[in-house]
Amino acid sequence: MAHFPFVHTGILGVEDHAEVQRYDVSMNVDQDEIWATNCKFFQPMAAAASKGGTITEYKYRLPHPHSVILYKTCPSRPGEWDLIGLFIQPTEKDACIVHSFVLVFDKNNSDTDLLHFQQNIFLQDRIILENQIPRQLPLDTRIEIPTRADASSIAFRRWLKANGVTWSTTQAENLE
Amino acid sequence: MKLYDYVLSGNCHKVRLLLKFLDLTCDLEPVDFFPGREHKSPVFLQINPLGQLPVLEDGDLRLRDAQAILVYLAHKYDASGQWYPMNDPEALGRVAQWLAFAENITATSSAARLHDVLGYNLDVDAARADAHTLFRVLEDHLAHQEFNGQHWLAGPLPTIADIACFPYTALAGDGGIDTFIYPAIERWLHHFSRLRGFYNMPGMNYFA
Repeated sequence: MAHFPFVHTGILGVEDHAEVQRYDVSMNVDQDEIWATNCKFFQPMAAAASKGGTITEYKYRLPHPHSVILYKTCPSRPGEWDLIGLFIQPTEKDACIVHSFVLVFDKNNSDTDLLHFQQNIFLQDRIILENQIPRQLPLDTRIEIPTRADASSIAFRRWLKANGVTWSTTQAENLE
Repeated sequence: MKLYDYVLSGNCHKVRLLLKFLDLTCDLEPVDFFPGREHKSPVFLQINPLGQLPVLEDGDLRLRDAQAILVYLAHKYDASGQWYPMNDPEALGRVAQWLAFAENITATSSAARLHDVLGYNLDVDAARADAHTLFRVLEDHLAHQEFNGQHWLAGPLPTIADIACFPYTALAGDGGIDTFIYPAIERWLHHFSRLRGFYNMPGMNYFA
């Protein structure tokens, strides 16, 4: 969430509201999933259907190392969730194809409007993601200095480590 | 006015930027370029038989081709004559020269980006190499302009030539083409991003 005001300025965040409030991260042991819940963020245009700025609630669900599903407050139907999913298909250790779905309640926007909205967001993310160094995900705690806002990122790294995932990750010794 | 538009199209962004620079309002008609390939559909081929974006409609006029649309909008709506210097033959020739150059940037830099971003099947190594050949020419020209105290492609002020060449130079990184090795191009991109009314499209990160 911390990147919203700076990468998706005017859409998913504004620089005057950059604080990431405390949220919860849990490991669903039965299904071996990570959930980040109670995530709240001020968004000027949370979805194509938005009529103005709102506090949006998110749930991030990680059912698989290469999949993520976002549940977020539906602007047009209080109490319902809009869903956005990303399925990552690795092609090399530092390259992948991203497949996605968007499931939203929206009576006013066409499918093409929704595609444009999401592709705009994805391409704003892409330039940031592809310029991160190291290109492979660091798993060693000595490599990064996380903050409280990174709780879900830390849980993801721990989960990968606990499951012995090494594909596409950076180990500390590789940096030397 | 109506612009048939794709949010990730640099050619559409050329038109969107000039509309903004001239304080013009225009309805955007989103076209499902990816993944729907709506621009190649029978319905859209009636609008543009070349199956390309952007297309502008203004009254009875329907115009395709980003550069052609820039010429039309600037000549019709910019009373100052800055963006399309109609009364200066030499400047007009230089503008036309760089409008043609912009087409070549599209054919190379934009092609590499379509390969990397949308998975188009094409020879990306050739596209990148050809883009670098063009960017070396652009770099030399802009450096030469700087020696003469000028910061724009066709003269002392920005014209539609700068608008036409800007997006696919600024977005070259999306196609794996590093422009940081061209200092005069980088300075020109930053100058351009400070024009009143400028705004980023995804893949650009210019901050005032």
